[in-house]
Amino acid sequence: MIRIENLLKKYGDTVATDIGALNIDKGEIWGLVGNNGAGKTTLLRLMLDLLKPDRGQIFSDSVPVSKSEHWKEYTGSFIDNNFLIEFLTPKEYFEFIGKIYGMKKDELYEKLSSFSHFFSISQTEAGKYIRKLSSGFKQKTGIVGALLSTPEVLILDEPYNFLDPSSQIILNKILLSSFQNSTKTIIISSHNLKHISDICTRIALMDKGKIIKDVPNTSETMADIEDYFNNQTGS
Amino acid sequence: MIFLDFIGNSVKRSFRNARFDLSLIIKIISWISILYVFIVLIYAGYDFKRVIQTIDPALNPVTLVNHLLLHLCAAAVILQFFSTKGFLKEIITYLHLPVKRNKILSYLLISAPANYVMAGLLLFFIPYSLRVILPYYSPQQYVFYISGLLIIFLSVTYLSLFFRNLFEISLFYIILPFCLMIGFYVLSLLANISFTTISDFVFAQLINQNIYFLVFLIVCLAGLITINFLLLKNIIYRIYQDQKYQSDYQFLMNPYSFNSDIINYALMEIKLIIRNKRVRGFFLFALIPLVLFYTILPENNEGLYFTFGIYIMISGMLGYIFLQYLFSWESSFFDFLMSKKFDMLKYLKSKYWIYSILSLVVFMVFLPLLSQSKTEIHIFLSALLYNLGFGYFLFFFLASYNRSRIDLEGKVFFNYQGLNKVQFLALTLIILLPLLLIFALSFIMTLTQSLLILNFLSLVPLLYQNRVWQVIINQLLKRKYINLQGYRT
Repeated sequence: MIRIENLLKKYGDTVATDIGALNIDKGEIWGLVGNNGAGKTTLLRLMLDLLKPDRGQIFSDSVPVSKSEHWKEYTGSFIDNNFLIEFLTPKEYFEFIGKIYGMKKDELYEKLSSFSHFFSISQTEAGKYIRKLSSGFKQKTGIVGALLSTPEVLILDEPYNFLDPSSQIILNKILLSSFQNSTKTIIISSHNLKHISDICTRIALMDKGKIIKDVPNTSETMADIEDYFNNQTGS
Repeated sequence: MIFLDFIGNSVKRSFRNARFDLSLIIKIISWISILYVFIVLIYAGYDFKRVIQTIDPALNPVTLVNHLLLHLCAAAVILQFFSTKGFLKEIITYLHLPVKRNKILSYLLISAPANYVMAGLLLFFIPYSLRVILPYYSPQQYVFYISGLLIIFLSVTYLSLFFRNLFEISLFYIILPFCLMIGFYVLSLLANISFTTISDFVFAQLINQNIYFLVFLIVCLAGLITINFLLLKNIIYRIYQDQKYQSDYQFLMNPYSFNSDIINYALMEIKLIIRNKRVRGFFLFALIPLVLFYTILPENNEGLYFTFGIYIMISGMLGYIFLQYLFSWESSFFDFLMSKKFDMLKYLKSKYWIYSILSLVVFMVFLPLLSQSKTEIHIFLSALLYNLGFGYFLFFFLASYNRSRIDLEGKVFFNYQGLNKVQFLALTLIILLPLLLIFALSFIMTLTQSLLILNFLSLVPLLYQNRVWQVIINQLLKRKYINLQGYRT
């Protein structure tokens, strides 16, 4: 579904992303872990054509993302607050997304009701602009916005940030129920190793812009990755 | 017969589709209102002499109406354009029936004059002509007159239909009525031919039983029917080409039936203006010079170039103030816009519509201040047209060079965030270019002629809007990565 060829992105002399080849197939939940500055967000931005690579290309369904807009129809994403229209209320934001994806109101509200456990907001909060919401609710708004159009490809950057423990668990359930046994693809980056190991079918470890490990999620994988981070701390 | 069918069907449709709710009450009130207007029209036509005597006893009932015939026709074209529904929906319905296309088109064309406006015209003119024209002229002259009027009214219907059909094909033909208006304006300026003189001429030809003139009217009517037939055929062809065919024109007729993207984007733009402190502040800032201009304009006796510069500023003020930061306003969610299924063309168009409407509102507000001379109005109109046809597009183009992030809730005063040299360049270009053109042309032609050339040049980008938008979008996409980087920092 997503293919990367010879990708390089530098900020000045610093290599942010340098990936020779990478394939993420349909039906995979690909987890990306790494320390701060490893290049995770840069890679996700490159996948969404929000950054221009210095070299190489990213293909979505065999079409370069920089050459076509078609991938936007089946890709949902949430990276950070720049994906939120903060002067709208959550309802208006969802309606706006629904409209640009051609969803009917009934369809939209049915979809929203399926997220009611995750995004349960009081009437008072619902009337607030997104910028007035807490970080947790902003995060939830962005995630629901990404999921609304039932995308074939979902790209989430640090989705567990700011979420309370219950919401983190519910989010995992939503992701698993939406994507299990389907041809959909999730690309998710997180610092939370437990959640990544809970839901991902494949886990990649990124450091200094390079993917140094990309393996199926087995019982040993997490132990390896934890060892890696332990070594990084020198303990 | 068709007219009676039309009324019968309308009544049946209204009651069959009615539910006992607010819409039924509104329908009943509408019906009563229409009935009332019709009764008033019959009465006004029947007792026209007395009606106008209550206004001014010196008025002549014959010349008054026939003086204003063309004005009435123009009003009827506009009314029919907005009050009668388009054929698009009907065509799509009929196309599924086993009936030949030409028959469907013939039916639609024949039934076109069966509308309220036409009914209103007839309900007034028949009693009017019987009571006012017939006593003064011979029966032959009367028959000639009423036949001529009927042909003119039918032509009015088909002219209105012609515009609607053109807009079905492309909204860019909206420029045509404006061209017609400018044409009449030029005629009145150069040859002193106005609506009134044409109306008088028409009346004289009909009363004098000029057979050639009647033939000319019939040929015009036939021409309009034929053109409409061909246009409708073209629309059917388009429907076959694209089953989801829905023209931009639907937006004018029924905003809610229009592919709602433009409205959706426009609503967001309005919310952007209203709900954010900095943007709202800019709006209020723009109002200050406008109020200032409004106060000083009546005393303005400066030269042409200064006046023209002021008019460009006035008619474009609200557009400039926002368009200079066009994409920077969206810097806090530009990642969202660029990663979602976003129709960039409609998104930009929605902005263009909003700022054009704002310019039109400003134009209408300022118009009474400068109605002293035709030339002054022409200068103001030229400034407006120039902004809509060139100035705004230039801002759209240059706005992509502004890569500064703007904090929408940032303070309004002494906040230089988002300021960019490109804005000054754009504003200077926009004000200087037309002045330089008029200055250059002033050596070889009159002011009116120079303004007409400027009007024409301003119309060109409007006529070729699709290409202009494409250039703007390409430019925006070319600068996308640079701007996104700028907006994030």
